[in-house]
Amino acid sequence: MFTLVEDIIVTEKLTKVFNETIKAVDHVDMQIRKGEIFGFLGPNGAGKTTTINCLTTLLKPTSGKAIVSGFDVVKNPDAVRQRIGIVFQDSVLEDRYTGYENMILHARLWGVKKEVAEERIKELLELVRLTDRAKDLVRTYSGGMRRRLEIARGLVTRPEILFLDEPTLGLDPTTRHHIWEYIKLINREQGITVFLTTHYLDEAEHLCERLSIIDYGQIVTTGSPSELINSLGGDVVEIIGEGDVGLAVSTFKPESYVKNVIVRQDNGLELTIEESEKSLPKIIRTLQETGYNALSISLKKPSLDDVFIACTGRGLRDEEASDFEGVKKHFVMKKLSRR
Amino acid sequence: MVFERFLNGFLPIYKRILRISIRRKSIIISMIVQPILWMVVLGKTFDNILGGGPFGGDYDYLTFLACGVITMTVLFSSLFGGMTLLFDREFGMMKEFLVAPIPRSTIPLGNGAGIATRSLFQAILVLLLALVIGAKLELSFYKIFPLFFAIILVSLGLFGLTAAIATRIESFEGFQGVMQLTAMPLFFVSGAIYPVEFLPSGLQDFAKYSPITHVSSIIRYYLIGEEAAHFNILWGSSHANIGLFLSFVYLGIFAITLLSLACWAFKKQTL
Repeated sequence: MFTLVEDIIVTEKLTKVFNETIKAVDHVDMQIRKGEIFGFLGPNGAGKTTTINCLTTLLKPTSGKAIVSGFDVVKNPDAVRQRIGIVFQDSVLEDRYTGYENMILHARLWGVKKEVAEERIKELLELVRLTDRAKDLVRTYSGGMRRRLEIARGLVTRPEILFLDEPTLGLDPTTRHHIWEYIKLINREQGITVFLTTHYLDEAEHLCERLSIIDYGQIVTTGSPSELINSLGGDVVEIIGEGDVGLAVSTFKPESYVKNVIVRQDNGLELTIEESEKSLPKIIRTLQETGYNALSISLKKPSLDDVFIACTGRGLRDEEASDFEGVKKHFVMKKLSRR
Repeated sequence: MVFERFLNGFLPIYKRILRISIRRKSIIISMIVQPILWMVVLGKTFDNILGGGPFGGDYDYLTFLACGVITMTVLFSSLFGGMTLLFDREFGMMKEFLVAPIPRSTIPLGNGAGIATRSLFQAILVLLLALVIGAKLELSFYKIFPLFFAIILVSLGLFGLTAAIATRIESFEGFQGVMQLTAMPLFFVSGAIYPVEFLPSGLQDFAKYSPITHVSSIIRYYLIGEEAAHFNILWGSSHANIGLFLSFVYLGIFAITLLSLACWAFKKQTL
């Protein structure tokens, strides 16, 4: 016996253009495997939410194709809606309902029978630790509680895919870690495919089995976090020291684990190396032999931020401060997507 | 299957409107206080100015006005019911409904039915308050049901109008502006606070087309009597029964047309 890895979301040249000029999503091709946690990483205005809106039938793509859970989002939206759960970027809860009533309302809309729903809601509230607050009005909930309730609510209908749009936006670090644990738990225990968007690098690194970096509506690169990071070539060791750097350079260059050597202007060295944990002792030994006296050694492991910079030529974090175009586009898109 | 999905959407949306209305204490208080103010202050004061039977019949102004306050209550409650949809789109539940596997039409229909039910309850409340305050309204079992039916029809129509507008409008300020512009003229010409026959002739012609004027006449027909209804002005016929029937047909067409418009607007609504 062998198991076939199915693709649960497939898009071909998925494109969404607003106002005939703004390309929010631009020829996106992706294949998401059943059972994985897949992430869309990109700055604000990159087209993440628009992509989710297209995949969840809330927006009609301008062109291209999207198959979700085996159904075309344009031709068969109801079949898609029946099989997915969504947690929107901003909280979508009835404030004047209790947490429990919000869950029941959701179950009713999706046609889940009352007895079945009650059983599942009890379990899910337990899972997200809201059992003792279930009878309180949602307007008394904190941001983290609302998020947990929304995640639990999305699961009442036993969806095949759970879409999470910026699941931890605006939450404190402890709550974020809790939300991450819940997401991993439901993925592992219930086998639900998770599609999430984020502009937090740590979130993508921590949660996603695979991810795509998206910028200006286009997928820049796709892979697992470690694949993407390794594709940069390896870790960088920075050595600052005194003495003759020339001998050190000529000694390091032929070593198999060293991929690149740069001599800095301050007489320091930058080595790009593989498997830094194993290589570091060798480097220190080699340094002693060459007579280059190291004063400080630091190890820099590349992050997804470096991947992002390598792919797009600019940083992800300083996006909001510097890239007005992106932010402006973000707001225009938010406004237009309502029509 | 289709019907089941329809109910999956319609019932929870309908129940939600009623449930959140009950949970809004400020709404309930204003629902009670406003009609009391109108009837006690305006009604009793004008009774003193005008004396008994000011409009020819043997009914006093308070009795006349009580019917008008019912009309007013239904008008404003239904028109501002559309505000719920706008609120939902900006801060709340609209996305949840839009992404649910339910027919889109259940969103305006469920909300509309909820608003109509709420309006009806408000009308009954005003009716009871009016009786306590001293309006001499004639009530009977057979009159109450067609009266309720008329109220539901006009409420559905008005809600349909605002729901359709709400899908197209961007801001609360804009919506409120549109509502003020719609509600005030309709209210002033409806004959709610003075008989239509006293309107300047140009306005009288305008008033004939307003469904509010028709429901106002129907309410007076059932709660006071034929002489207070003025169907002759609305339809030019001296037979009150024919006028009554035509007004019901008119309200029916109004409700169906505008609800259909709202359903159509929602079918196209994406986010």
